[in-house]
Amino acid sequence: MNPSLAAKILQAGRDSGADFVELFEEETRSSVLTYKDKGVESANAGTDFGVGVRLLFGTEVLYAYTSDDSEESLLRLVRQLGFGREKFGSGSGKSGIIQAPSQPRLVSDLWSHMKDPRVLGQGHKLDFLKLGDSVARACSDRITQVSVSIIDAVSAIEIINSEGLAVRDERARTRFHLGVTAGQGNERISASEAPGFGGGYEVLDHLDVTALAKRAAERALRILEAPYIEGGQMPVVMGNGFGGVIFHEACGHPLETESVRRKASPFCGKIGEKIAHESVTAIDDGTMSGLWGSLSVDDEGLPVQRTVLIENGILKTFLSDRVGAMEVGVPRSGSGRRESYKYSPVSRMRNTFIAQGKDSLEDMIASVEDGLYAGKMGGGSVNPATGEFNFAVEEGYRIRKGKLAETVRGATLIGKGHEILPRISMVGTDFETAAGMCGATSGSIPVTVGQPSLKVDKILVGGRS
Amino acid sequence: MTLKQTSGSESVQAALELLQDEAKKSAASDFDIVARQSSSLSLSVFQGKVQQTEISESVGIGIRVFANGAPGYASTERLTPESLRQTLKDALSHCAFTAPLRGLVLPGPTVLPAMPSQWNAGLETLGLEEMARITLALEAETFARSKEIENVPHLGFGLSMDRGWFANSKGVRHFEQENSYGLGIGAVALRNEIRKMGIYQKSGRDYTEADPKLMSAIAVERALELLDAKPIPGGEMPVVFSNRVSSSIISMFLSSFHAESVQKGQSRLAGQLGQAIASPLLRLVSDPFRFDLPGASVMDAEGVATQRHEIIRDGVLQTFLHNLETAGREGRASTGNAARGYSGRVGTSFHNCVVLPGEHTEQELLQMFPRCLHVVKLEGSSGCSAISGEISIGIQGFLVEGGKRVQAVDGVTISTNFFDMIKRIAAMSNDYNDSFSSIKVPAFAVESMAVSG
Repeated sequence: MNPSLAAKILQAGRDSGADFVELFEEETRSSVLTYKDKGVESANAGTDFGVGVRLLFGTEVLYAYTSDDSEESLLRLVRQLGFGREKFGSGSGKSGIIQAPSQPRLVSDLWSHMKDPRVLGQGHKLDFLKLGDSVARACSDRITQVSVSIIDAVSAIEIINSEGLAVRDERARTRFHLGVTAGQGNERISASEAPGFGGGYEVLDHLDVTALAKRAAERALRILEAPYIEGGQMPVVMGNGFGGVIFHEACGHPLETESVRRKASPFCGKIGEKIAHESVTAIDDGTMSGLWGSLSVDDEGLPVQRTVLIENGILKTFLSDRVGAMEVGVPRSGSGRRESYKYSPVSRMRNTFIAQGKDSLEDMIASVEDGLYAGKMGGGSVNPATGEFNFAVEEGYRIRKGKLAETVRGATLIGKGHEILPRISMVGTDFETAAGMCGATSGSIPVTVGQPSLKVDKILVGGRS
Repeated sequence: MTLKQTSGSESVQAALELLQDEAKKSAASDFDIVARQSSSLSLSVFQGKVQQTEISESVGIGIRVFANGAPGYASTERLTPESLRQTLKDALSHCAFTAPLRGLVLPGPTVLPAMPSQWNAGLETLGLEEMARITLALEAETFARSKEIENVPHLGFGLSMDRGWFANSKGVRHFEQENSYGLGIGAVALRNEIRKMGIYQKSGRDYTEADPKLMSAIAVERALELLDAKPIPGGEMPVVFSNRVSSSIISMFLSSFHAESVQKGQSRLAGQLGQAIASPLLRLVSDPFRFDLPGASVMDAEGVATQRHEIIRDGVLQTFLHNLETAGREGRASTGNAARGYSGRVGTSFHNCVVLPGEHTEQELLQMFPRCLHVVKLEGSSGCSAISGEISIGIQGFLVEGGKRVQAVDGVTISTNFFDMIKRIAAMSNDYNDSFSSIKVPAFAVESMAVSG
């Protein structure tokens, strides 16, 4: 956005009495190619474009967005937002002259090494998709369907605020998804692999499509033959990588200031207290190069950081955005995120994981008399206000007398996050990460979850009696 | 600040005209275009203050072109001539990757039934100030109802306006618009260090029906009633799904009725047309003419006139839902169930998915069994798969004996398969919940299901 137009919008916001005004402009170019049913099912591309304007009156947030970036449209929205604010009133009501914005400063360096999806086009994806399809189908004639897709997005954003910040960021993400359906008689089972990365098509150069396709197909075939688990309370060893989704959902969300400021977290007021077993150290790190949830700056323009949330079981801090930091009284952590210009930013996770421990997976399994090894987790969700969570186990194995036994299906883990943390008694050495999409107040954003294998002494496993 | 019917559609219509003109001049043999303009006003309240206010205006336009019978898609939210021309170019370039779609013929103009207005002018006069007043009153009512209400973390009021345009190369032109409101609350009750949230939402076209006193009473009751919940021993037992959750459990499996899922080996219903797949009590309908529900429409997303279809009649599978692509593959007519946003490809959808009601009240369903589990809350959906039909999900509710609640229940899961479950429906209630939803399912009872505690 041209700085003089930005200055007019920011000044109009301040003239309405706002303490702080921010502009977020985004243009995202995305494309997806999907190969299914032994052919290209669809080819699609799109351009998302718009501007978001945020006014803060104290910690009261007023947000507007539009796809129309004309001066007339933006000024009208700002004036509508600010009109009559004193009636609801947390704002200072003091007008002020903004610091004139400079030309936005570029904070990322994508182009030195990126294979630009916009230049290479959809055709670059085709061989990867065909390979995934053929490898998965070759695993068994019981593979009834394979769907392989690659989605990429390249975003140019500008963030300009009334405090003089003016940054420009360029972000690229690419994700491979392979879904397999295995069938036998009338029965159908699906399994998938979906690695995602920060970057353009160069990330595909290192992608082991053959291994991913085999892994998904073989898992679907194993589950197809597996019996249902008999449910009940039992010790659970959670697999590495996507097993971290449990920490993300059950503990990560309640550690965001967006939950804490609404007093909707069991961790309110517990900084400095022991909230987990001493073997647990948990980190949210937005700086890890090439990961799906990494950023140069957050969506408020602040450089991202490595934030230690729990250290040896002690709660150290929360993940915070500007408003959350003000309300909760913690430093900003560069965690203000949003799906697009259509959302006001709030505190969100980036790459969240439980740090590597000292135990081997073999020792964890050997320590369980009768339990479950949740090798591959499915998705899940949590209510931060009550702590109640639920997660599907995509592939599990019974553990009997310290040894892995039969594959089981249909397991669901349910409980409360703050009650599970103290029950993590062993943390492994096999740390891994996995990509996912996280949905919350400010939309659906790319995040990484991660953990080494770990043992929870007791958790309710749903199944069939 | 209010949402007016007349504001700002000129740029979308001009973009549609330009894209259409360019497509006619291009290498595309056929095309169809969808465009959307959306506006909204919303606010949230926390602890006696408006915490967040939002105003939005957004537009988008998407085109599907055909070259030698092969489809290509592209979309944009930038309505400049340059961006629209690039969008057309992108869509045409995509035709090189896709295979020709057999038997797909875009429809021409047809006479459509009259559609009652889905626009309530009364919502145009509702402004942020009144929305704040109502929402603050709801919060105050909620805290006043019980000292055990600790927090109201979720409380918001929203107004939305959507306008959609459709045009194709065969001369079909169509326009629909609607507006609606939604007021929702999530209240947390605390007793003995146990927290439970009660949620209630009211939405529709007439905001005067949203009564803060009634809404707070329902949310508070839902939070308090589960505070003393505890697990029950596992085993097989009858389960009654309350009409609070019945729509959610059915909605997770609706893609099984889409012809595309069947054709691509991702529905367990393949090959079962004309067969009994469910209890004779189950009648499942796609009804675009329920104009009191938000899924009503006289035309689908490909310009085909919509029809009411009974998908399951007396337990027997009657048809799958088709769009032009899936219908062409089978050499049959579309059922008029194409769905498409401006940025996506054509898919399939029920218009309004309605399970027809039975004869009993929900209370009478509970009285059918000496002992049953009454499910009033589902914990997420991650243990459910439309492809396999698996249901393994945490629930909360009540143990009911002789028609009376004897214990609130949490910390348990239910496990079954959707396709087995619908065969074991023992009764369907005669009442829906009061949501303004395109999925309406009454409470229903299932003979038996595995419960783990």
